[in-house]
Amino acid sequence: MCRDCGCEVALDRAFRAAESASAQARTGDGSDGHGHAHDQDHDHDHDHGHGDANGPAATADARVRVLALHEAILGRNDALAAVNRRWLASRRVVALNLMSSPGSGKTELLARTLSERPDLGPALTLVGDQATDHDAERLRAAGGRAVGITTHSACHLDAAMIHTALHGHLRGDERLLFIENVGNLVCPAAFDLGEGLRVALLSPPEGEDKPAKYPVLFDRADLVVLSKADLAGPCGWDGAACVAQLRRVNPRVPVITLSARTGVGMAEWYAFLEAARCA
Amino acid sequence: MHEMAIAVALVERVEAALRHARATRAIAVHVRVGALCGVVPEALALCFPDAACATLGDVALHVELVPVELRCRSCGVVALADAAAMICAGCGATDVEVLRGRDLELTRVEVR
Repeated sequence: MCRDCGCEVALDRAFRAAESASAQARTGDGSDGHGHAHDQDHDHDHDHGHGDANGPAATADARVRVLALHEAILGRNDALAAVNRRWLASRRVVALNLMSSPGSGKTELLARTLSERPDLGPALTLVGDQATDHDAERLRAAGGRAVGITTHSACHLDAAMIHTALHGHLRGDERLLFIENVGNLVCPAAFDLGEGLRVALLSPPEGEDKPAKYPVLFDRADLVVLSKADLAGPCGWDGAACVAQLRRVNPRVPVITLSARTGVGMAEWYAFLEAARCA
Repeated sequence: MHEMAIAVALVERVEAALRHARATRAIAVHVRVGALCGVVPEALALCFPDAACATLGDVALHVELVPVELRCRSCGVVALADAAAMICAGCGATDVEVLRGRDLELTRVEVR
């Protein structure tokens, strides 16, 4: 068991609670047969993780049984993300998960933020990349505390990677945790990390229709940052058209247009961070 | 392609289900994949045999696709939608609630 957060115990409990809730939710679900809680064939108690609560069903082959389950495939990731979330909340750390294509300006935005606004409070940044520590080095050069998470073949961060990094690097006095996800508009969207806010970035060279092409990531965003605003002119980029595409996927998400290079819009970003910190 | 990570997580869940049911072998695995869950069913099907071969052996994967279903908070209409257009099919409003489509679920395992 971990001394810092008791995570094995907490994870086990969170996992079982999630499964138990899911077992209760499916009780009475006629689609998979009767939803009784006990079954004669099973001597297990009720906080186990794998509900054959609907009992084995008969099939043509008498030896074959059907286990009706209804379990989240990423249940373990989700349970660990919930542990991360509670752990961060108990330390009053606001965690933001920044997701975008490679090259949308995540690191530049964070570098300017860390150097320009240390008054936002102690911050830790976890940076996911398949290889190299380049982005973490950039952020450290900007005056921030940053740790690279090298994912090797993985195309996304998951809750376990964040959990391990928090154990190794969170001091406990942080007010902000920035998680710079692996540059990728597809895979990171599927994995809850335990963040409080999901921030999606998009820049002019990517075109206006990224939200329509990658709806899953933009659909769940709590904030969309249209970054590199200084490139809108050279790229012939139509910001209003981009926002219109975004609105079809996530009608009410706040949008901030900014350039971390020129400083345009940075005040709005800082206001968002201040509000998140006080929420 | 994160579907390999999803496939590995799926195999772990099936292994645990086998242990709890005291079954020796999984014959078929049934999953639900929503259009908004960020998983490509074909990619999952491609990865699953490799993820399963070491412990589960040869096991069939059945994928049920779950479309996006929205309820309009303005007019109350419930209808299917495209993931890229989260708008009410009835009145065109954008104030909608997602009823289905985020599913990524192991629903059944046929065991022996």
